[in-house]
Amino acid sequence: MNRLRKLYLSEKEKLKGYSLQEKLSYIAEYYWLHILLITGSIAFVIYFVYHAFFTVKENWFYITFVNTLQEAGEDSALCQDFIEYAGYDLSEKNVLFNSACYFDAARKGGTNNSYYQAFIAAIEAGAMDAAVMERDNFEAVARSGRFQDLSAGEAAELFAPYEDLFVYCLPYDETYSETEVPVGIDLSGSPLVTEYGLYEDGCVLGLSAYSQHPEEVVRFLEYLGVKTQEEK
Amino acid sequence: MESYEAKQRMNTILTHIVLIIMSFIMLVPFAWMILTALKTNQESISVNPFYILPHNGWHWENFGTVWKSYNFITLYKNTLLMIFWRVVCACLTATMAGYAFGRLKFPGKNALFSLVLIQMMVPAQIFIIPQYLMVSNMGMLNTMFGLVFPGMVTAFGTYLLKTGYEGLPKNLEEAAMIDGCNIGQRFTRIMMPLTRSSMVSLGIFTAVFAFKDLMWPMIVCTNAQTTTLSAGLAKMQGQYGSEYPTMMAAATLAVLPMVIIYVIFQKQFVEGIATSGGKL
Repeated sequence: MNRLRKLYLSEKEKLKGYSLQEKLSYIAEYYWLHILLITGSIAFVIYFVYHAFFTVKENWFYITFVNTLQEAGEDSALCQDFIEYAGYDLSEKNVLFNSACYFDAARKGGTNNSYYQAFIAAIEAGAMDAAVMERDNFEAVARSGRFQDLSAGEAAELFAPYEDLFVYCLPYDETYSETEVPVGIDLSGSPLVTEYGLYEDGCVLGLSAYSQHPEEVVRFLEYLGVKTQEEK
Repeated sequence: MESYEAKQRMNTILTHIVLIIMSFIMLVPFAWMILTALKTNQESISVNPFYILPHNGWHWENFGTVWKSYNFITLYKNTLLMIFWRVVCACLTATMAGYAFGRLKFPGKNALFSLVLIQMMVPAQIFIIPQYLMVSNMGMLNTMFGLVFPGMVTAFGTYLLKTGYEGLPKNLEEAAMIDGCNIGQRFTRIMMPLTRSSMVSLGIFTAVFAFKDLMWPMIVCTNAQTTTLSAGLAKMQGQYGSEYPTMMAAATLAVLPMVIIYVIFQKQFVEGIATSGGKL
């Protein structure tokens, strides 16, 4: 601090008798980098604080539609209708519908890998709540252990009404179970999936391994018009 | 003498023929991309090799279709801003770290530099989930900061700049010390300007890698307003997978910024490759 003060006083002494323009050109000549770094740092801190404290919003619900034939992103009618159906307040939390995801889990190479890794990252980070895709693809992803067992834990109670629509798969971890466990719900009977033309030959919904909002996934199933055993 | 000259001329001709053939091979995919963008879908899937040129007219409207379907202005803006910030951040952090590792003496220097090297040895995919969680917890998903974040610090850049600083003569810095320069002045006024060619190389590498980066923008940018050209193009591939003219029109538009950057900085690109010994 003392050094800074000394520096300030000596610079002040040097600039005595200079005109304003000369003072400014002296500062620009010798301190341009300092000014740039300080201004940049202040701008960054403001930007960062603004985003971290004023724009951070959790998600109500985050779903990914893989290889869908139609646009089912945030601007789609499907998403907007669901927000209205669920009565979400978007000023409080976000709803993410992602349909920009195209991969075949059994194939490797090119953008396929990038999409797949991006998809897996969102699941592993616990951001994604559910994913919908064609049956073959779904089974390939499920075999990698990325979807929850719908007959265990909190999910068991929530998804029990859809038992007749369960899609089964052998778990990734053989010590977990040697027999197939339910990991998805067949959406072939959903009138909305047909109406929006999302998939040609049916599709399956899976609850992501680290989903934070399984109850919202049930709400989405209700919205899609997937009938429970009781309703049938 | 005459036979020597004839031999030389023959060598030159042969070299040129080989270079022309190689150039042709390199240019064919680009020519195919542009010509396919001007065809109808039916023409584009024709396997007849004589149909390289559009024979049902030049369909410039394919560019219009893509331009209207996707907000290319936003994609260009996001991509160029991401490249700019990544280059600025990478050069700034790498030059400071490179100077510290290359010229300063401090305890644990080798151990810390080993950590930097280790980062270069592991695949980038390993960092994706932790980085995603960090960006997500900071509330920076779908922001420019989120896009720039993984490129702010670069292990390769640190290594490149460290090598650059090590190659500079010690007496330059010593002379500056005698003249009364402190460490900051020695770094900013004497040493940093001398590593300009390494910084240019790093800037070019960072720009090219940022332009090609596909996975990170796809992860952190879920909406079309914040995504980049590469991720936007991949989305188009998903949507227009079988419509080759539309896809190729999009690809042509997507490579434009890089072609312009290359034309402007052609000399630096070549120098950059020569300086770092890397490939783009």
